Amino acid sequence: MSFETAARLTEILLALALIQQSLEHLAGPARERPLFLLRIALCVAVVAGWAAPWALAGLAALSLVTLHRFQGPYNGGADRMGLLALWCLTAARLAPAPQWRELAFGYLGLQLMLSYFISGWVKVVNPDWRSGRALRDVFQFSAYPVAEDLRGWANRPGALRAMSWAVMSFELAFPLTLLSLPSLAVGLCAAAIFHLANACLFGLNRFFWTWLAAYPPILWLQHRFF
Amino acid sequence: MLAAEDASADVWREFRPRPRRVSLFEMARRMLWNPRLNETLFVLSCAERLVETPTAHSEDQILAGIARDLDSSAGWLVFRLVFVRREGEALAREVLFQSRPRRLADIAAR
Repeated sequence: MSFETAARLTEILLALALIQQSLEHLAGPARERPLFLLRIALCVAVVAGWAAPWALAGLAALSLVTLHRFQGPYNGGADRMGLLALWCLTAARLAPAPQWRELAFGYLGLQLMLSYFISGWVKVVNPDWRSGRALRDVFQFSAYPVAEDLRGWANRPGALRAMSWAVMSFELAFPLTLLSLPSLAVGLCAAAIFHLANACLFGLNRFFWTWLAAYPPILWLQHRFF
Repeated sequence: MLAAEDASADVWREFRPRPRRVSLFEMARRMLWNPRLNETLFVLSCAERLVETPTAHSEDQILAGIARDLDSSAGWLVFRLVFVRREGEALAREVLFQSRPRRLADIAAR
């Protein structure tokens, strides 16, 4: 995948993810609507390719206003990854030299890889994750399950231990998928299924669309270095 | 909710309790349209912020989130944060924060 194709695909996927989030915000307090209507307008410009790269730079500037409005990310990790993607992409578009553009874009791909690997590492050094206890706690009493019926999973310790090890193994092994394009494609499909499951079970729909938007940079990075 | 600022809060209502079950269709729909649950997650993160680093912003956001669910704008609103943790095989609940009563009419919810 060429740099230009990957960057354009990332722009479009990220703008669509931001439109989805912004539409949800329009259902919220009236005083937030101008901010998110402006964000939708800028996203439409990015998707259409109008006023490039200034529509993207406008989105990056607007992200600071949004951060101030909510005194931090609205939706935790999904917003953090969205901000990272937006700022890397903006830097990749505005940087004066090709090597700086590639560096900014490649950094996003690298961060995507690390998002899985570090998450796996943090889990595997925790005895509660290795025993399945942490996942049991999530289902038993955390605020995340979308329905009370899902709490019944807390009574299946064997299944939860297996799920914990499946998640940890996948996350820790993810960097190895960069060795070839087919293995990376399989890794990204598995990751997308993981995010889809999180969206269904815990309502984290924004993670799915935001992480999907960061897939083209890692596909380009794989092509560039392997 | 309280009738007066100095009334005692004896009965507490859980904020947005989860439904018994959610259908696959509803899960699929929420992939594209999930504003209520995302707002609930934001209120939860404000609750964590309030316990770790208390700010008026976090308290205001929680009050606004609760007030949006109420039909009436009369009376006073107070909330408390109950955190659950595991102690061995048992679950322990602890109230880590209780807001001061706020007049509902003064809360910028909508």
